[in-house]
Amino acid sequence: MNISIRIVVFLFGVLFIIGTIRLLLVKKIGERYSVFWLVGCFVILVLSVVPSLVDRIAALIRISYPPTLILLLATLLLFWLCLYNSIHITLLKRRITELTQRKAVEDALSEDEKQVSR
Amino acid sequence: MPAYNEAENIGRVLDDVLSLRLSADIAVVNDGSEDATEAIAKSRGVKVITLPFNLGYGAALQTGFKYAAVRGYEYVVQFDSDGQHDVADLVKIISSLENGEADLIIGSRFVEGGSFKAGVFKRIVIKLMSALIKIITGAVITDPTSGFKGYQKQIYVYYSKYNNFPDDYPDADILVKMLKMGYKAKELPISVRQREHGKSMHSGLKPVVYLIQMLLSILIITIRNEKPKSKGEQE
Repeated sequence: MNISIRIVVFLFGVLFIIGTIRLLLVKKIGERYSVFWLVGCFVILVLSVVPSLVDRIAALIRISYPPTLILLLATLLLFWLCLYNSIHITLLKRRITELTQRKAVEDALSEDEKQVSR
Repeated sequence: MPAYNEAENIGRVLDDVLSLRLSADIAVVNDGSEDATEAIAKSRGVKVITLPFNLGYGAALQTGFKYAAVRGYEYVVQFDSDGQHDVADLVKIISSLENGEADLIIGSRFVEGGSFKAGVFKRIVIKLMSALIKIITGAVITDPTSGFKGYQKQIYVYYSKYNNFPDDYPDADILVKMLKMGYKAKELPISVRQREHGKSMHSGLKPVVYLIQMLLSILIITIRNEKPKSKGEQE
């Protein structure tokens, strides 16, 4: 990896960290969800400073073309994140449905009570 | 009666239902309609439960179950508000529930005496679901996708609870589950008309999504293999 690409990757890593912290400050992302992005940014920073790390890990697990390792890891991590988000969306949808239904039923019941007391 | 944007149908359907003078309470679950569904239903003097936004057919139906569970009704009849069901069939379903003929009464378009002109794809889906139910539970259900059903208290109370009801389309999957749990289902013939106004919830690509989702749901229910529960346990 030549120096200019390393600098660009490093800057992207720094920008992502600043962006994530900014989102945390304005409460647009929770601490729990920001951990994934901060760890991801940290990995980008490390790889931009020590790119030979990829070659060494790739050699260790017998991957002949080291950049494939980055693509593989990124794909797996993003896939896992999508699944994690799908689980959370399902849970939130069910909770919102339950709350909405309870509210509608309670409104209907209080209307019934009003009609009885009239 | 779950209803979403049924302003063109709901008035006539309610008038027909009310003309039967049933000794039953009628409730419309207005599923966040953007038209005059709520106002028209209220004008007929029936109970209207309004969801603040559209949650979908299954959630609207479950809202009705929740209301019924609090009110403690002995049974509940699910009836579509799009004018496709014949109100005369309501009497048969209610009488069957009152006589305790089964835990679940299904209005079927395909048993002798029933009538409905279904498209080819719809017929294939229904046949496929029936065959699956037969293989998994041994029961013969000719119309597993019917939206005209009667539920005894123990069943609707169970489905009124959080996480006990399918997210989108409660159809063949809940039949499989109930039959596997040891409940008895019975089909009665009903007549179904083509809807005159409005858009069906099974238009466009939705039947394909429905089929995949239903097959998956049935598969999961079969794998889970929930043990039959005593009726007291479920209430």
